[in-house]
Amino acid sequence: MANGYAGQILRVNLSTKGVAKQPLSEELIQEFVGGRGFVAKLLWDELPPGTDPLGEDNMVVMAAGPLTGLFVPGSGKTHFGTKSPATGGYGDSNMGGHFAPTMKYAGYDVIIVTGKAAGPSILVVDDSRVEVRDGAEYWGMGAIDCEKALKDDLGEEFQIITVGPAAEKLVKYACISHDFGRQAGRTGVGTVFGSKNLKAVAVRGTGTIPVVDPAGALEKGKAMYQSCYNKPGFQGWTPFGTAGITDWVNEVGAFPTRNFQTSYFKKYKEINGAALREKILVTDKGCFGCPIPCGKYSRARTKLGQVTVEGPEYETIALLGGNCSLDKIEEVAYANYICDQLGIDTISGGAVVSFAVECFEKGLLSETQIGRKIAFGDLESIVYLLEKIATREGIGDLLAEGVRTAAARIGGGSDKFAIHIKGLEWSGYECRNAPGMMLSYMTADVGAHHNRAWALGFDISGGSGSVTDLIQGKGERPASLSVFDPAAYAAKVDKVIELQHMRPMFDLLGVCRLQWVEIGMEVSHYEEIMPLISGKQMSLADLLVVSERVWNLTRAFSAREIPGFGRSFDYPPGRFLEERIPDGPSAGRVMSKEEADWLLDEYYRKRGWDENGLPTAATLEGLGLGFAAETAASRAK
Amino acid sequence: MKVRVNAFGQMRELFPGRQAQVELELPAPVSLRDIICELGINPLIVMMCTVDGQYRDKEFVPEDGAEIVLIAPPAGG
Repeated sequence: MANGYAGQILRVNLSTKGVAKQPLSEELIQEFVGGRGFVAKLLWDELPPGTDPLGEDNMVVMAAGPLTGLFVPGSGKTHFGTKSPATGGYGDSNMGGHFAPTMKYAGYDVIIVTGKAAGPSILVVDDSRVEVRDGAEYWGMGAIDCEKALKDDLGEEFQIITVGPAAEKLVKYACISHDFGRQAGRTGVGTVFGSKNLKAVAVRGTGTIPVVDPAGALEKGKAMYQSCYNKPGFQGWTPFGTAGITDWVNEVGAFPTRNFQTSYFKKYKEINGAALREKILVTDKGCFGCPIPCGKYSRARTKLGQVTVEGPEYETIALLGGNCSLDKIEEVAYANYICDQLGIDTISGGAVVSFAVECFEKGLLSETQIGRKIAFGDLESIVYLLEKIATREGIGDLLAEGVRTAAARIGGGSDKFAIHIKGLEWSGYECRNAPGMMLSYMTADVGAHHNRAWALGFDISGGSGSVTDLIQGKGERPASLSVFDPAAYAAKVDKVIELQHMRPMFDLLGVCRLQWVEIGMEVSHYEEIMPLISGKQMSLADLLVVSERVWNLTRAFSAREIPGFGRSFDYPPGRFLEERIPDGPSAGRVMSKEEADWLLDEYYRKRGWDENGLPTAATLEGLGLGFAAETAASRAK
Repeated sequence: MKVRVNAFGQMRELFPGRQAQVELELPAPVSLRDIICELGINPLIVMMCTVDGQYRDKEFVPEDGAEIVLIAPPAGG
């Protein structure tokens, strides 16, 4: 058995209730390391091309990494992957909590679920005992309520993932929920659970993970924690968590507001990290092995009732707060809770609701179609729409498909303000004045998700060549940042590619990236601890090559699965190319089609992709992905 | 007067030579905003500042010997 790994893949076919266990192959470890790498390779190898995302043949892959569950900061990440019902292409999402460590203690690095159960079911993994059980009594429950019920029924030591009613109704952006408020929210991984009649997975593990040098790994792990504690930013991060960024994103004019109509929310101080801490915080909360807990348990009272919820995180504040124009942190927390119980991704959910409100304001959806008047800033409107979506009642049936499909059916030019890439709704950064971040979203393999490469800071810092202007401006954004400059834009392309390789590294290892991103723990620690755990040298450069391999493979996967996939899937929506930001710090800014084309041309060239954005055979072969080259070549014709 | 400015995470990429810490000699007390500009960094990139462990806004003027920490924006949820 390879050190650092539990050593097995667990396969469960829900159609037959068949269970199989197979050794984790050395080749898979060598070429793809773990987590997101395992997800990408297993989907490529095992998913029949052309599979219906909601069909029996689709797979959900749950994967840990070699550091997951060990004494390493933030080693609680679980990676999920599937063919996305939201985009039709490669989909993945990850979450913190305690699930993947427990998977490994039970003996599995990977759990693959296929098939479709005859009726509502749960999967119970109790060390070596694996059983598909009847789940009828849990069907219909809220995702949080279901976790509580299963904890009561199975035992507190089980780690449990659940889906809510939205997944049962096949809402295309249903999430997987865990630990009473952690979510793998994006790309509809929860929807695929629902399509398989799978309500929950419960895992208990009592085993251990082999480590080649336990004493050395322990000492190195201690040093990594100590490194976090010693960082100057250590004490600054926890009090607000991700909500702490709200002020800054408004100051730089990048905050989604009123369905991305503008990028500055005047009442942002009512929904920021300080408001969360002062008005609704109960306690901080961390995931497995976390030295810098960013989770927040909150209790909020609104006119619709009182809720206790984990959050809101920044993304929820952006999409349910600014984008739906809720201007009280209590109301954002309430909408957060509704999404969590229904099992709706707060990012896509907030984006879809705000899209619907704009359609109503523009007369593209009528009061009769919707069932009532709706408005930005009205909590009752937001909750009404979320509940309609989760039940697919009335207008909810259309909105459950996501903004891309909804806009195609509503018409009237609504596609211009259906804010998505590849069918995945845009997360919490408005980018008309941030070309690097725009490119990050445009080229993100799963669609418009910020976690693939967060280049906004680089945009704001000037990227390159603008430092003098910046100093002279004393913090005012100089005009030169808003003007196309090939040198500066080329540097942004480089930065986006660099980040698109850096970030998967954490997902491969099965650790949270926030120790690096937020407080600056050095990434060199990972190459130092890996030999102590696995007995093999793995440099940072080696890991980045694997990241690049995964990035190209997931692009090839989407090319294989989506008819006509290529460059046309990488453009931002019409709003970002045609409408100038009306107010706030980024007022007047719009990205031109020419700028978008320039960025894509440069990006494809540097990636070794053709002008349609498809990896060339030579690029794939150079990354050890020769097996995907034939498919890529046929798509390019 | 002298101040010590610490950077970490993505902020460090913007520091001269990607250093974790820079010591600045200043002719007179100036605001945090001016200190950040002195380093060639756009103050907009700085999400929060601490001076000797206390949160301060960018108009705060540190004293001689102050330990300053510049906190970069995180990447969201």
